[in-house]
Amino acid sequence: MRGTRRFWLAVAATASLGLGSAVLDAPLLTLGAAGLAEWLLATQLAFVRAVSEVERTLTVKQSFDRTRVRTGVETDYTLTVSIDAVGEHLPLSVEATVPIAAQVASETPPMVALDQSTRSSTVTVPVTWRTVGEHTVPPATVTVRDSSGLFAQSFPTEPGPTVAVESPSLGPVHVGQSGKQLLRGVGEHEARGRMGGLSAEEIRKYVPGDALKYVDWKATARLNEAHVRNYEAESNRDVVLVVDHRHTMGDGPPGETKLAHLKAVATAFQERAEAIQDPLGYLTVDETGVTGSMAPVARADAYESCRHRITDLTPSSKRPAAASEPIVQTDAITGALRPSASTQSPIERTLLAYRDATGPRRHLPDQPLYNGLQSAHRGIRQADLLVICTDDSNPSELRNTVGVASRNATEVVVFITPSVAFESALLANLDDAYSRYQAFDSFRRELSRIRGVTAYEVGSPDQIAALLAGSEQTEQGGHA
Amino acid sequence: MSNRVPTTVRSLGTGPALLGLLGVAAAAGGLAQTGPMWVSVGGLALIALYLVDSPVVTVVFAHVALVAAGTPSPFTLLVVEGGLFFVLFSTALATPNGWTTGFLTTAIVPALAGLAWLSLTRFRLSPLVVGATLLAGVAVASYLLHRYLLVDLDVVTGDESPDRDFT
Repeated sequence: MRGTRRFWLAVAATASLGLGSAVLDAPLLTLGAAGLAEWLLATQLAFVRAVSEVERTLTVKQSFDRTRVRTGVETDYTLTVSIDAVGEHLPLSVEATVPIAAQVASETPPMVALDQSTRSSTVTVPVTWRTVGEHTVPPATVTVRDSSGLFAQSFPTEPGPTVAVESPSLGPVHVGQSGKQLLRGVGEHEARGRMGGLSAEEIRKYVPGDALKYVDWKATARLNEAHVRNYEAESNRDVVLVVDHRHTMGDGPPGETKLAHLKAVATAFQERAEAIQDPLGYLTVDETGVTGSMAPVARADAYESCRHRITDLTPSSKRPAAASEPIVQTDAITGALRPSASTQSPIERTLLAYRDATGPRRHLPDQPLYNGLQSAHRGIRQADLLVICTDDSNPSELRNTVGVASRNATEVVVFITPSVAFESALLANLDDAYSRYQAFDSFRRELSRIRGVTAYEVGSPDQIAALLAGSEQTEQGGHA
Repeated sequence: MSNRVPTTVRSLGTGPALLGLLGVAAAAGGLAQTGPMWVSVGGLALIALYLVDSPVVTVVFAHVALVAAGTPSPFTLLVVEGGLFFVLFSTALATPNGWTTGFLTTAIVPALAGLAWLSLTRFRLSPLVVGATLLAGVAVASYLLHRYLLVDLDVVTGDESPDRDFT
């Protein structure tokens, strides 16, 4: 307990009366000093009782909206103070101490004040974490004041929550379809190349439909049951990574952007190709067009070049031009109307695809991914495996791009980051988010139905799980 | 940081404030009864001091005025001291835990002030001795309350182990 300035002034006044009584030999002043001193003592005694009561009935809760965050990410810190007192209580304030590893936007620390009649109050402040590690919020400090302004007492509360702060490196990556994780490792693929032989893979039981030539007679005789031997083609096949790094690829929390996820996927393909010595090439695209390309080559320096290119990719800062220009454009040569991709009807799309495949290469406005692949080196377009890494922000362009890829390459694998899974306000409206995810999944399945094309979703497992939780909620709501 | 002690004008819309005003008016009236004209002016100053929310200064000023006015009659003394008690009592009542503070004020102040007065008048003790004893006693009691609160709030522990180990 500490006395305020007012208290010490009262003590000084009391002492002055006492001193005056001694100097002037005036008993009346002694009486005044005695009355004041005892009044101060009575007030202090009442204050002690009241503070003990406050300490018993006060509840201070410190919480974060997340207990696991990454550095540089903003989290909400909430300080809730409530008191279960009968009648009025002493005015009090609770001041929190934010860990030194965190930074608060405001200069003053988070504080809640309760006046005599207020029962509870809450304050929420954004906090940005700077240092990796586990940080426990120190105890908040409760300060109770005497309403006559004579005394104050501070005491600590229980320590706050512990927050695990991690580096902004990418965690596990979800690669799958319709929310189901892809079981086979990313980058692994069946050999369907143009060159190579066969290697024995495994022996398994015969099932109707297996060709007789694959029956392993020795194993059949040994195991007394028909067995066949599986073979896997050994080949070197050209692999080309097409990576989109336009500004929309920067969506998501720092270190967990769309591009960061797709870079992890592309790196897996690069490592796999290097491990089995598949020729590897790349094509990178942003709003301005092609930013880098390399035809498939099976050389150590090519693998290294590709790895560096993928690693160095950053989302471009340029935003797309506003969609103010008319969608319909006039073809200068033929004089025919040429609708843009977003307004094409299915029949127009089909006819234009044929024209693109047979006629001179045409560029579509605001479709750099499509244009980049269309105008790429033949070795890139006609790879055995074309891996496209992009997002779903421009479905019509992606549809066109996959169309071109499927007509040229042997196999096309598309990795798409659903934009809905990278929005910070995902949890705010799960129903809406889930419906958007369904639209994305429908689009992904549409791409997968194209011959030779397989499309996967890529994202954070936590975000995908949160979206699927939205589906469960929707179903429960439906049943109810 | 400002060194000024915050002062406010007292609101008279509450029961304790009216009680205090009654007390200070009684004290001012008692002072006026002592005779000199200037003491009546002092009584008005007393009311003004109470209104600017300075009960301690009010009590100090009233006692200085009493001494300056000469020896008051027992009745006048009773009226002034009674009025000043109500000033302190009303301040105690105005706190959130007003009844507790008021009860403690009622229990402690008259008892100990009466004891001091008896020591001065009946036992003829020196004001210096009585004042020093009283202030020392209150200081010790105040410190004990301070330590009790610290232990009660777990700011310090009651069974603190010695920080030195003699072997």
